[in-house]
Amino acid sequence: MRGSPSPPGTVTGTSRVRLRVRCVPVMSSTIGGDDPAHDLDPDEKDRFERELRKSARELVGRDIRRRRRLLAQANEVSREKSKRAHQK
Amino acid sequence: MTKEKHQIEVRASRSALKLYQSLLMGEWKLDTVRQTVALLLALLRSGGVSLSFRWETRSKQHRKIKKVPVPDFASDGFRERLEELNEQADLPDVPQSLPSRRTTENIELAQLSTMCGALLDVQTIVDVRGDDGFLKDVQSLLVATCIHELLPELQAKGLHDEHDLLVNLIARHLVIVWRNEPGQFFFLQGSLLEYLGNRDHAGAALEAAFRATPPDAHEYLTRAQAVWSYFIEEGRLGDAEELALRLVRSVREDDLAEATGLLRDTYGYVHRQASG
Repeated sequence: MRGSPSPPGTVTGTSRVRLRVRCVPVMSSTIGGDDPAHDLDPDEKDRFERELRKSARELVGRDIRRRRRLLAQANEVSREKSKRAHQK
Repeated sequence: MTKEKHQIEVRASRSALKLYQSLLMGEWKLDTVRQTVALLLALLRSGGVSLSFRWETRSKQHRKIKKVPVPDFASDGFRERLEELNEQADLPDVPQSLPSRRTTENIELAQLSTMCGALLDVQTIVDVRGDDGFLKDVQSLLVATCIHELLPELQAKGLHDEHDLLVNLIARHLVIVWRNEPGQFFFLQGSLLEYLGNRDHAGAALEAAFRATPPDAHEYLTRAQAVWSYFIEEGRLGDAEELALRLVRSVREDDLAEATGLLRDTYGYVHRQASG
């Protein structure tokens, strides 16, 4: 909104690509804090991750797009597990 | 003089964590991208900011992001890989401007891709503190779901300019945000290059991701399988066998059955190839 006054605290930046982003201050409505109690059971994640890899194995050379998607999802789940393990 | 970035402190709420977990564990589809975008916007609101954005038309020449900056503190191996990938970068041109879309579906898709690009670019505008690691986790989920869900949809619907711009923004996001985590950086880069059809370089990036991951990390077997699958699909059965043997020797006991399964499958492919 070129020309209009920005609210106090507004930050405007332009990336090297062409993306113009304005950060406008707002009131926060969330409750802070990372609560591990809301984490899923690690065994459940483990099973899910193995299931993803197993399904991906069955798709090798047959449905490459789906195979890649399943491994990408397994990677995100694995990463999350590693992070949790390091936090303990 | 470098302008100091505005600092924000984000906090992951219980509902944000719950939503992240459900997105991580649910079946990925286009709606996963929408929900991930909503989650990121909520997370930024927790830091007291709300994003508004628009695209500006460029009047000059096309500009192509061909090269990714090599961080000063990059290790020799990381620097070498980045420089190698820079030479081979095969990203589409950044479009000169984005056309107006007419159908409701295309307008929604174009807006979604714009939001994804903006949310992946946040760290270039503001300095994120607090639960910044969680913000990165959600961005990583956004990158992965964009590669596997949104980009193919943009392409299928003929939104090529939005597609090409998002590809470039993802590539840049990876360098800016993930340069200190080579395993994740190379895995996501490999995924992007695979999507773009750059098989050779994708394979090299996936191998780099695997090499950068220690055997006791949870990601080890997943990243190994990504490389193994690539070898099998490329007909590099000798490399697949070597990798599977290495896994059998190096994985944790819990993962031994899976590693053995990969080895067994490899011999199955070898046998099928031998019998014509």
